[in-house]
Amino acid sequence: MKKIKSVLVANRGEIAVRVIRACQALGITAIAVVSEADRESLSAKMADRVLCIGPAQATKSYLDIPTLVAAALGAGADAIHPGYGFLAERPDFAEACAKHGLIFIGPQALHIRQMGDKLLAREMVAALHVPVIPGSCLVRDLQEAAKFGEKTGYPLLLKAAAGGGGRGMKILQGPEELKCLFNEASAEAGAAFGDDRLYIERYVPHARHIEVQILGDCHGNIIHLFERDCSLQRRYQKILEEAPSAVLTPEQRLEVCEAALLIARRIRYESAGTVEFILDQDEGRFYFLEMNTRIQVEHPVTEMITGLDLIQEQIRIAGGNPLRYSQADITTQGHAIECRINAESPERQFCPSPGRITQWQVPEDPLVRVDSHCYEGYVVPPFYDSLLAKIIVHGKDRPAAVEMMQTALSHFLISGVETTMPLHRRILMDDAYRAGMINTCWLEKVFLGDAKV
Amino acid sequence: METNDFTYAISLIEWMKQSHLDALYLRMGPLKLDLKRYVEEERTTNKDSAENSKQQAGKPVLSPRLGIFFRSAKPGDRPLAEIGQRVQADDGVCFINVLDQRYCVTAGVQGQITEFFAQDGQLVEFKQPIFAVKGQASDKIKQP
Repeated sequence: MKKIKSVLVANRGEIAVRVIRACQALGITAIAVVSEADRESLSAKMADRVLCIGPAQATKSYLDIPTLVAAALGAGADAIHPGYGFLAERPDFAEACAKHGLIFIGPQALHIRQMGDKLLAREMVAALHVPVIPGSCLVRDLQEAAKFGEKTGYPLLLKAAAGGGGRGMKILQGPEELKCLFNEASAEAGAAFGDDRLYIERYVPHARHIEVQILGDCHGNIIHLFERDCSLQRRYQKILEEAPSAVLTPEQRLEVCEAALLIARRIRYESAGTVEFILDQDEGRFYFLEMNTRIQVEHPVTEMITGLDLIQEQIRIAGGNPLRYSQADITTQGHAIECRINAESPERQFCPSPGRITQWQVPEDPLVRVDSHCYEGYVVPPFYDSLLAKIIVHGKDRPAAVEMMQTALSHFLISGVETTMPLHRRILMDDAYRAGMINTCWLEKVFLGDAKV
Repeated sequence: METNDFTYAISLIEWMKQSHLDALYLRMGPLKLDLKRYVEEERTTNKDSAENSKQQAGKPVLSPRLGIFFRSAKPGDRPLAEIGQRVQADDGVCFINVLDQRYCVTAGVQGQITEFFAQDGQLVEFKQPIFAVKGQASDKIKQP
């Protein structure tokens, strides 16, 4: 395999900045691609070379596979890093890279495909005797869904077969909701993934979202980097993440990490990946949810407690190198928390708030990490997701980390756009949050008091 | 601004469109007027006609996509257009190749090709200037 000397970063925002930094730390040339709306972005300023790939519209820029591959070839890149979102979990993108002699910094297209079809992934995991939430195969129509409901009882969860992220996902409280929500979910899934197939499973009302970070190389070595707890969610979008989880017993931690390894080994997974589980707090049982075949937004909390740089490891693995760590080398220290700061107004139903940032003052504390693409004077474009920054702290234990985050947030000054920082400040002061007494519904149902999920 | 001043400004703008002037600076009281005419200067200093058309500033045409620039369909083929060539708006002037797809870029306006900004095989970005066309309206100035 050829040595990676130059990487095209096929993404935008904070993750593009993050990948460029990792490349530069490894002495690798970083090529940024920008849409017309992102010419003034920080990634464009930091990269060794910048190419404008198309208009603001993502389908004609960040999602245009031939253009990205042509840009990489034309600029003489050896590899493409897809970041997260956009094309990160599109097997055809990984294949297009391979076809043109470019290294895709991520798993094999086959891995993306195996885990991308959520139903197939469920079947494969069940065959490994890892628990999956009791559920159906594909539900082709309303009648099949109703039959399943009669058999299992409610509440139930309708999900898209083709993907996650909450799109096409509906909670059914009773059979009377089935007709309306089935059609809604099916339409949503069709619009989001071009595939309107649905499946149905038992809904776990008191659940923690626990996910295990995996690293695998092309020599068959696979290790886990312990878990993250991402139970603070709104509309299935993570708001605040932590590592380690505050609620796992050592036995549960071992169980969930071993299950993740079993799944990753089954497909000889390569690169960074995340195996997601639901911890049913009523039963104390884990269930496999899905595997994400990409670097995740919340990867920094794992980096903080393990001391590894996951993006640098991804690049090394993609270059054909064996993992530099064995499982025994991976230990964790302290507790890390990440808050996702979005340009949204928590006061106005999280309505996006794009515009010019007139003040941008990050906390000046060497123990506080801010991953961001923003700066004073930067205009947040209205075309993309609203993530402005991830603020990450690492304390000796959870209470210390919570205190550090509160201080960090009070020293983070952003003006010009509304942000979700006030929400984070309130969460961090909440007794239930501090006691770790939360679940995946807590933020929406209890804290925000918004019954509409 | 008074209504009269506004009407006067509008009429000045209309007049500028028909004039051969490129710039006009006007202060009303006490009146001070600076006029500029770039094209005229160039025309009088250049004698050779090929050189002349090359130096005439045409309107840059931007690449509609990122890709590899080529002036001909295949290496060795005649280029679609040469400098100095008169073109119609829908005449093909060059190609942008994106992997195995070839997109033809048309002149966009009727006029004369004055310059190419990219070389065969060069990677060009979205909206990068790739060639220049001197439009018909400007041509009239050149032939008094």
